[in-house]
Amino acid sequence: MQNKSKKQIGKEIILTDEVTKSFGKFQALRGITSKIYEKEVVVIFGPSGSGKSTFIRTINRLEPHDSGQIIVDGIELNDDVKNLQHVRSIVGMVFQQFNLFPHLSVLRNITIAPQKVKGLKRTEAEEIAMNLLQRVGIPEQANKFPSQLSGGQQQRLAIARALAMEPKIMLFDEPTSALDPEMIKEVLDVMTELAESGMTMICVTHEMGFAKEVADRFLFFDEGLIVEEGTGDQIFSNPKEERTKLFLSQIL
Amino acid sequence: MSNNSIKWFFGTFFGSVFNSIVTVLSALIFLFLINNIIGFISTAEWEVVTVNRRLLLIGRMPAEHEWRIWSILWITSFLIFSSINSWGSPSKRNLLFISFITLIICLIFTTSSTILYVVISLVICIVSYTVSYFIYKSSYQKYSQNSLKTLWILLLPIIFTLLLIGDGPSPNLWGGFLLNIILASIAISFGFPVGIMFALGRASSLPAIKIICTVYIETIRGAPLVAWLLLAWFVLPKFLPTFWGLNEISVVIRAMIILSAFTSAYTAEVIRGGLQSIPKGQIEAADSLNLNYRTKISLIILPQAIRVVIPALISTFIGVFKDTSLVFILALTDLLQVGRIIPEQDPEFFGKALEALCIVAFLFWIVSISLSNLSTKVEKSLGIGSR
Amino acid sequence: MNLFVNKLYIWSRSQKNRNLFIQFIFIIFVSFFIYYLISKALLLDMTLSHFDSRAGFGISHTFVIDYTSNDSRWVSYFTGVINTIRVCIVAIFFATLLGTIMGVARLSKNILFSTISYLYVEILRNTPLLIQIIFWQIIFLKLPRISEALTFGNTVVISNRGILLPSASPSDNGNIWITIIIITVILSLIVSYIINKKEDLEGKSIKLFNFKFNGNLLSILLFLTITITTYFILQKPFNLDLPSLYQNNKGTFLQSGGFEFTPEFGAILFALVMYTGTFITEIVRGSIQSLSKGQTEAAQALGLSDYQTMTLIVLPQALRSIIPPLTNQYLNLTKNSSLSVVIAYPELFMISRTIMNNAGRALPVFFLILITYLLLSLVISIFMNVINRRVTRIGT
Repeated sequence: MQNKSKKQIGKEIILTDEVTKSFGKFQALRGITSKIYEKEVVVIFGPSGSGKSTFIRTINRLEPHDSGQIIVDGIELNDDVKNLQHVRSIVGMVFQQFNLFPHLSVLRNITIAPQKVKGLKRTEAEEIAMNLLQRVGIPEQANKFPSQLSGGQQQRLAIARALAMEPKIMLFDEPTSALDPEMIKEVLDVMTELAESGMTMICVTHEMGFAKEVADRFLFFDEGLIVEEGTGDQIFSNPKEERTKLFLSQIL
Repeated sequence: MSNNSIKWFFGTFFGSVFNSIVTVLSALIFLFLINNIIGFISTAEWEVVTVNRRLLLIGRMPAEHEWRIWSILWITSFLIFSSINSWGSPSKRNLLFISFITLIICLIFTTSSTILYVVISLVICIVSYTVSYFIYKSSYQKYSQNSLKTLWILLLPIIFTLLLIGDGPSPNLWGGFLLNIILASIAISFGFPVGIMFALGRASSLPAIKIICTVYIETIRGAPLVAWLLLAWFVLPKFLPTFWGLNEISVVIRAMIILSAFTSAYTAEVIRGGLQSIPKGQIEAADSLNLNYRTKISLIILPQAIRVVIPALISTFIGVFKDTSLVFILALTDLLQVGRIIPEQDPEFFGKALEALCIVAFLFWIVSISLSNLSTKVEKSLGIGSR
Repeated sequence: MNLFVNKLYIWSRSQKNRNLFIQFIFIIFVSFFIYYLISKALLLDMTLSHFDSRAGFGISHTFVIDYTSNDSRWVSYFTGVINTIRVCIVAIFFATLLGTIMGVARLSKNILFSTISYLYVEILRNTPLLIQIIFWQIIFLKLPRISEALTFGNTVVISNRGILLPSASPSDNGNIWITIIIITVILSLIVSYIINKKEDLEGKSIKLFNFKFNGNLLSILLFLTITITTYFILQKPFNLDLPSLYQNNKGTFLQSGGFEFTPEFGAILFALVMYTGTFITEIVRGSIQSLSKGQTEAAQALGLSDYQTMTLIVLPQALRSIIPPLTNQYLNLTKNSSLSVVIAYPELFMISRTIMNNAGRALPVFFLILITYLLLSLVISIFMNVINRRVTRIGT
């Protein structure tokens, strides 16, 4: 954990204040208050149904929150359309099911948003795309289609697609849960490189080994609340709450 | 070796009591049908068809306008035969089928006065077929495919220009097989995009739009097509604005309007099924990339939705083509009407109703079967339906 | 002014407000359109009052209602509706039967059988229904003339005026017998339910001569025994009405008696059955094929017999995917019955057209037609929905 001290954590970039969210009668989030800082890597873990995915999906408003405040990069996230567009342009997301566009080529998956949203020329967009493919390690796949790639390659493509919009924050919703074990490492390697390059990341994951290496802070979710938070040292060596101890004993 | 085949024969056909009964019954049905069909063909007199060829195919179009029809035929056959080879050569079986159909169509068209034109058409077919084969193998494949696509889109306007240019015959004179094809083409060309719009409207989350689109779709699907056509006959003129002489538009145009509306409702239903089958994650990914509504729908959602339902779409289009025979209720003389009227009114052909009906059925059947074969080919090349 | 623009700008940035605005604009456009339509419609006579007046035309098929041309147009319309219902119910029944047989045939290993099915579907599906109706009409008209009509020993009369089949009208005893049948059906259902429940709970079954009688079999036997014995006891509960052919004093051939199966009814019936049957064939075939092979394999690995596999595993699952498209076909069939206008079978559409030709005012009549067809569709949909729910419950 020593390399963490080299990184400069920046100013606050995400603030959530008593955020709640219900699905019908089920309350997924019961009041989440937390702050995320620039360049910080935050890992969210906890039992299933604890609200982890719901929480990060409220940050780019794939799920609108019911009450409370969410402020991203100084912009409040609410019904306002312009605010939403701004937030979505600085937040990128990687899904558990990849959600790649099957009818577009690998290259086109990456270039479609920069071209259509940012108005880049095709040559510019393709240059960016090729650089990103290089960065995630699959430059030779540029003209294939997503269905022709392996699971690990697809998820790396999904990361490249999100990075093409030059986000300030990257959200990862259980990125490796749908992968075969031998492909998890390649995706985690890309995420590690991303973290070391200074991206603000919020990851929901079960990969504790990776998390311990890379995360600056951990948030333990249970039943819609943040039960405990702290650095890797604090959480794993000295968990304060009973529930944290219980969960850790089950997964480690 | 023959022992095995005998065993197989008995096993398949007489394996059990039930099986044997079925075999016997089927054989009887087969023999009965074949007997009747052969009896019919041998005693049939086909003059009713050969003499009235022109009427059957193009209705009462005056002779001086025939050149339009020939030009349309040439352009269409050029397009068809070039397209066959431009996206991969057809299988032997399909090739046989196509040649067979072409031969029969040539026989139908050939009379002493038209033999020259038929020969020209055949030449065009063969030339475009071979030339496109070579282009497909060469590096100009992409160009030819793109230009063919554009030509197909322009085909309908071209046909209309050819028909109407220079004081062409009024639409009321269009008839026969030509009428069916034109009606179907218009209905599909207009009905398809309108259907997409209504499908999107019905899938919308905005209640006002959703309700209105649903009402439109369900109302049109609620009544039979003949009822809607009858409405066009009696009522539509009264509802059209009186300026531009719009309320006196010809019956053919009215039929086109109704058929297009009808097609749009059924197309909307099919596409709605496709839209429902798209995983929610696609929309979420598009949203998180901040794609706007237009881009999301046109580049991400619709291509996937339509691709999934192409078989059902083509099936709907085949249905539209068959439904064009219903315009008899507007006193339009389409192919079926001509085939019915000739034996009834021309004393020379009394009692030859079956022969005429046969040819009519055959023409409809050819188009439908070709379209459904096309659908299978498209399904295979897109890999749908095979999991 | 600036303040107002500012407020407007802020208001427009809310997604909810944008949604409302879009719907608002949409509703305005649609309202204009509807207003235009209604203003034009009001220029027409929109009432159905002309339906109360005398119809003035004859109808060739009357059923249940004794219609004369002096009756009101409402009566004529209802006669048409009854004719529609008549042809639709019979056609739906036979089309389903034919479609199911052909669907199973398509998958049969018997090449002869499956080829018939293949040819049937490929030829009749791609030919317009209208052509098929006219075809059957021509066929019926090719039947022998009345003077040379086929009679099989005084049981039927087949001519180009139609087919007369023997029919039966119940006498007083007959009505009693019908009541007994209804009671027996209910009784048998109860018996079968009880026996099946007992078998389920206690695992016992009634055995006779080493042959297991299951509940269904027993109740069928019960039903047959009671109905047949009471039939003989009651002595002729039905008056048989045999069709006969005779010449009146002018030498013209007349036929009477029996149940009349006219060429028109026959044509539309055969055409609808054959045409819709092709679609049902494809539905049944697709449904059975899409059932993964693993199901039958698992069932057989568990030792279930062929019959059990079919009734407990294959059919319930296949039925689930058959019923929605089947309902669609039934609705199509109902709407297609309107094509009988081409051969003058007087179902509701043809009669409406006659009324429109006689008395104009097409728009209100059209609304009547629309509502009638919607009602018919609704009835069929609800009925099939009930079946659907029963089938997808699968909790036996």
